Amino acid sequence: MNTPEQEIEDTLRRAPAPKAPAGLKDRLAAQIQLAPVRTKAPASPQALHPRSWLGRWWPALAPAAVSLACAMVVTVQQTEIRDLKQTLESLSQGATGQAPVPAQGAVQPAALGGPLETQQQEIARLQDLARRLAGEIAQLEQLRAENEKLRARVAAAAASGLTPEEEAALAEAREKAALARCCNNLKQLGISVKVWALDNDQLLPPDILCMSNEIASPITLICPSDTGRQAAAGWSAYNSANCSYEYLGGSGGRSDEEPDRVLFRCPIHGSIGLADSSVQMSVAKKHPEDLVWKDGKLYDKPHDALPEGKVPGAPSQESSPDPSR
Amino acid sequence: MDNSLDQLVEAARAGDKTAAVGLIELFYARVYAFLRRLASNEADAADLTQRTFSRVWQALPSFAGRSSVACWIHGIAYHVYVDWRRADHPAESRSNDWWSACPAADAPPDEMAARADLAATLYASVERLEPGLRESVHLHYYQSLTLEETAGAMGVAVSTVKYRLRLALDHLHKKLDAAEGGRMVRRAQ
Repeated sequence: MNTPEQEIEDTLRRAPAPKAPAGLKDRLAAQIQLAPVRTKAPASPQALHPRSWLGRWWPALAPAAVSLACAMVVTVQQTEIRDLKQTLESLSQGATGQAPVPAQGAVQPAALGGPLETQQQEIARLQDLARRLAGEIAQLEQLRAENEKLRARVAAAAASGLTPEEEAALAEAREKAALARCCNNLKQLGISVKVWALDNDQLLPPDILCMSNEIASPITLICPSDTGRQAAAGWSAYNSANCSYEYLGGSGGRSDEEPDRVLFRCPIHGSIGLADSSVQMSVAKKHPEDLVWKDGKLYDKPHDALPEGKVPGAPSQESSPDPSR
Repeated sequence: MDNSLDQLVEAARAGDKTAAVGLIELFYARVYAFLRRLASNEADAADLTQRTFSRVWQALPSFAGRSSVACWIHGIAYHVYVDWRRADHPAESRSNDWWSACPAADAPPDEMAARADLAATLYASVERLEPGLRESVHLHYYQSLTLEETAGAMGVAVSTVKYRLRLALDHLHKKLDAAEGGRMVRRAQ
């Protein structure tokens, strides 16, 4: 049989109350410690709320007081201005009503009654002073023109940010940096060929794409100065348009037999990468006579190593058409 | 009743010791019963009752009358008990014998005899409830405080008290049903 909830609640409400022990009430009464009564003397309403009206009205009274003070200041100023205007008008009326007053310092010959020589000296002095002042004015005009020129030059320099000399130096530094990065790319490509050859019986890779596992990134295939070319987003999207360098090792051969064979060539800088993974900077531009075609392969032959009778710089008899990349 | 209580409080606040004694007479038995059910023995309950009224006299000047006097005093008693229990006095549950030993004075003997078994089981189950649930039952049912007064005394929301009481009643219901089944099994054997 389930006990109804109401019965549970009723039973709980009828819970027995333990009886207090005898003497507890007396002990409680004996321990009463009421706080001392704080009786306040009756005070006036203003004393009870000393800041009542001020606290209530100060947000309105403060701006009103400031406005009143400003109005008083403005009134005083207007009064002073009016007085000054009146004074000025009276003075100007007085000046127009009288004879022209001679300038201060000017000499009245009749009044002075001095000798004619003194007047001549004074005129000469004044003429001299006028000439000097005219010269100074001319100098000032010249200085002003120079100043304007300088300002124009400063403004032009500030607009470009750099002087032409600085810009030339900066462009040269950039070109050097690009050349260094290009050589770095060729070096990485040469090492990639070496690594590929290690896994393939020292044979040269037939093309660049088969070295996708050895080349760190398609960005390596872009010369920094080849601004019109973009690196492939990935090896799956790679094609010949994503490579700045010519690969000359596609005709076959071994990497360990021909260390001076040119495998990579930068058409922009003329730098070459050899089969021994070394890089020669700008050889194709500065010393094109050092490059020799033989059996469809390009070799880097220094002057001393050229065969007898070969003219430096002349196209080789053994050269072949430009190989595919 | 409320007016007279308010007058007593006002008088006690003004320093009237007679009014303070009147407050003691009105509440000391309820406070003692509340604390006796929660504390482990009579001495502790009496000590807690004295601490409660000591705090009542200290807090009397700041009593703003936002709650009833009973709620206020029970709140003080509840917090005195919680402080005492936190000071390494774990709550101890009452046995059926303990509840049988303190019968209610106003309950008829025949009713007590008829429901003694059920009541003892119920009261003992209350003592085994979680502290929050148990104290809510004590204040609301044993001390006859309203839900609002119970919430005010415990310092929680009324909805929290309702939720706790609902949980407590469900728990007690299950306990009583289990006890009822056990007794029927014993009788059958």
